[in-house]
Amino acid sequence: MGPREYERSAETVDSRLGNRAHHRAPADKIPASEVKETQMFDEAELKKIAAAQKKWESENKGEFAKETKEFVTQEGVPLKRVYTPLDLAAKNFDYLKDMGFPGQYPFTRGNSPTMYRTKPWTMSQIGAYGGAKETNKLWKALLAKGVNIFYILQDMPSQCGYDPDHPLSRGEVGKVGISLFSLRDLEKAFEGIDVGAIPVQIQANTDAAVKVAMWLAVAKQRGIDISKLRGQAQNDMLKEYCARNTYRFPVRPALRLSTDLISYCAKHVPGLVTVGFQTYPYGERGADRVLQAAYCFADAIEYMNNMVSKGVDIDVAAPTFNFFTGVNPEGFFEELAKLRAMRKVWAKLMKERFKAKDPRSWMLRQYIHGQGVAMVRPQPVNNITRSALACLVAAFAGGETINLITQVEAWGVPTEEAITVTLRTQQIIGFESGICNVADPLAGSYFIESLTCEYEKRIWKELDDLDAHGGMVKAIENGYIQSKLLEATYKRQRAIEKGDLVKVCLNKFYEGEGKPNVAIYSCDPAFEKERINDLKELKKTRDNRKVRRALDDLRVVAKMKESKDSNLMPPVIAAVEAYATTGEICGVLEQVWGKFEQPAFV
Amino acid sequence: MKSAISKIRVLTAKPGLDGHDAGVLVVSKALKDAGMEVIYLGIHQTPEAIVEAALQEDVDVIGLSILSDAHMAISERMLDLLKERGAKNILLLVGGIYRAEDIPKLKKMGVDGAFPPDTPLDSIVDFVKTKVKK
Repeated sequence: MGPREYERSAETVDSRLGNRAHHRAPADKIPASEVKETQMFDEAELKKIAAAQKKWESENKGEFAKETKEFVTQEGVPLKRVYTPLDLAAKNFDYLKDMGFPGQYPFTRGNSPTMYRTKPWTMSQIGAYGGAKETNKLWKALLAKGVNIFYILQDMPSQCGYDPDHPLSRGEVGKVGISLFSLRDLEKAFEGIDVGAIPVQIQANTDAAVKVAMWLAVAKQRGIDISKLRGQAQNDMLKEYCARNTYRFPVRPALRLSTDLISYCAKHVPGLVTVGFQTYPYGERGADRVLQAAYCFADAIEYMNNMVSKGVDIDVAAPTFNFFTGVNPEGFFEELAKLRAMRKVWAKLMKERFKAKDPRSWMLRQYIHGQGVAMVRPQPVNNITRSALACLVAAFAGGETINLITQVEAWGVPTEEAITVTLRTQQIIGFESGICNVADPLAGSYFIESLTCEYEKRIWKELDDLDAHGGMVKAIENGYIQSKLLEATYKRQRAIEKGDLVKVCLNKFYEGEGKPNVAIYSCDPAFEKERINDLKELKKTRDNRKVRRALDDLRVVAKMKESKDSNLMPPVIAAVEAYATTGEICGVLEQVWGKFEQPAFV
Repeated sequence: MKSAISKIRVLTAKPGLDGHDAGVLVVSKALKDAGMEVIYLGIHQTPEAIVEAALQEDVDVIGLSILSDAHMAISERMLDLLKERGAKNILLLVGGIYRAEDIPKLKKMGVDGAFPPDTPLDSIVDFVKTKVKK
């Protein structure tokens, strides 16, 4: 049977292509993408296998009766006892269409033709806390141990755009990340570090524009050509409103600021990943994999719709995107199938819905992060094992960058000791295990490919549902996403308390809480006062007239109607270079735009 | 005077900038499902705003979630404010991440209930039901 047989009738094709039904193409016009390319299985041989399987099942009825559990994924996908070519045939699996080769559309097998054979993934480990000096010391130490990329993790005030003297900053300064309110802080944090040579991850969302501007300013001070810089900005606002909560401004202005950063930097700093669309916080809330992927893509869709309406060329912006995806070791193969399904969906979304032409726009580049929610408080040393499993999934999924959660996740902020262990975990898997020697080694597993196809189908359906809801922004503004996430978190909590979701040393094999054997970060209580003094000093020594002018210019642009001619990056950059603080810059924006009010959803 | 069949009223909130609200949301829902009236004030709250809302809503219980190591300072401020406003009879419950040795310190200060990670939801519900005299 050749491909032509499948063009017989639209009905036949549609009935077999459940996961492509969303196209709503007229019945007489089957898109070229729907036509089968490879006929993998001989019908006669499949019948033989089916008969043999039936025989095997009848011979083992007694054994099967010993299975008392219902095997089903969190999404409700049944997990069969065993998978065979029959399962792939039932999914109408097409090798060239569904998989192809690494570095080739739809990129199921990865984004590069050689994958890790040339070098393992970029090994990242989050670490930053307290003041610029402390963080500088930590970064230099991690660099010496083999970390490939720095991570600017900020304290809560810095993430929300508040200076240390703001009432809401009380008790929060330097606790969960570096205190970063002006360019001066980043200059100090980068002392002795070659910003031009080492990529930096900037974990900023509400004030990503400010923090990226600071990074660019440091580079400029050192005579580095910003068009040669490499880095990643998180800049993923929509997930903040429903799952992470460092938001400040109302949704639409925040989206504007975010996409202005993207369009500006895609042009001037092409080595910057301008946004990392996340599944991570949705995973932290216990959302199932289909929801994680769909919400993440729905966020990206809003971003792209916004940029297209501002006249941004999708093929200029999209190659600068990447995805901050999470891996939860509680579902090893399910998580792997999720990430592979996401590649397929993104490739098709970009090619067919957004009509992107550049293959780099079709690729789902990933910064894969172990899920913190999978870590457990009692007997924390065992979390190292959980992270190793997460790393393995991430490596099998072909992530470009991987970051793992430390053993002290439920105890406090990790120091160099705990971070080093997770770095070594990555290095052992990357350099010792041999899994990097073959590209996409698990592909072709009847189970994994079946599950990948099933997740793909369900993700498309969820995206259709979200479209029907009016898109992600509307769904957030009316609290729909928040209520779905609350449902998911509650379900997970109950499942753990009942023992349905096994967590070793928590609800099974419990032997007391224990404690970490490694140091946890403890912020000096005098630090907050020190930072308030730093702020006073800065305001005394800078050119305050320059700052006032820059903030006035920013206010003017912020009040302008959103368009490609009112990009917020230039005035933000000017303010940052004048040593305006993030509190001052975000203060101006809040004056113009107001603050986000969470809708009631409890 | 509250009638014997009136619902227990609870105000939940997160003071400070920590946005990790999964815990407070899940506890709020558990209390609501148990038949209580729950007002979730949200994140980024100050002790002043929380106490003001608690009085306006005439609640029996205030539940706070604090994961940013600020529980001692915030609890102290809350208790001072409640005393100032003549609302000492409102139960103050504090959940979140803190050192085990801080729990007796919080109780001594006047905090009525301290619930670290992994406290089963039902035990919080039962605690409130027992402690609130209606």
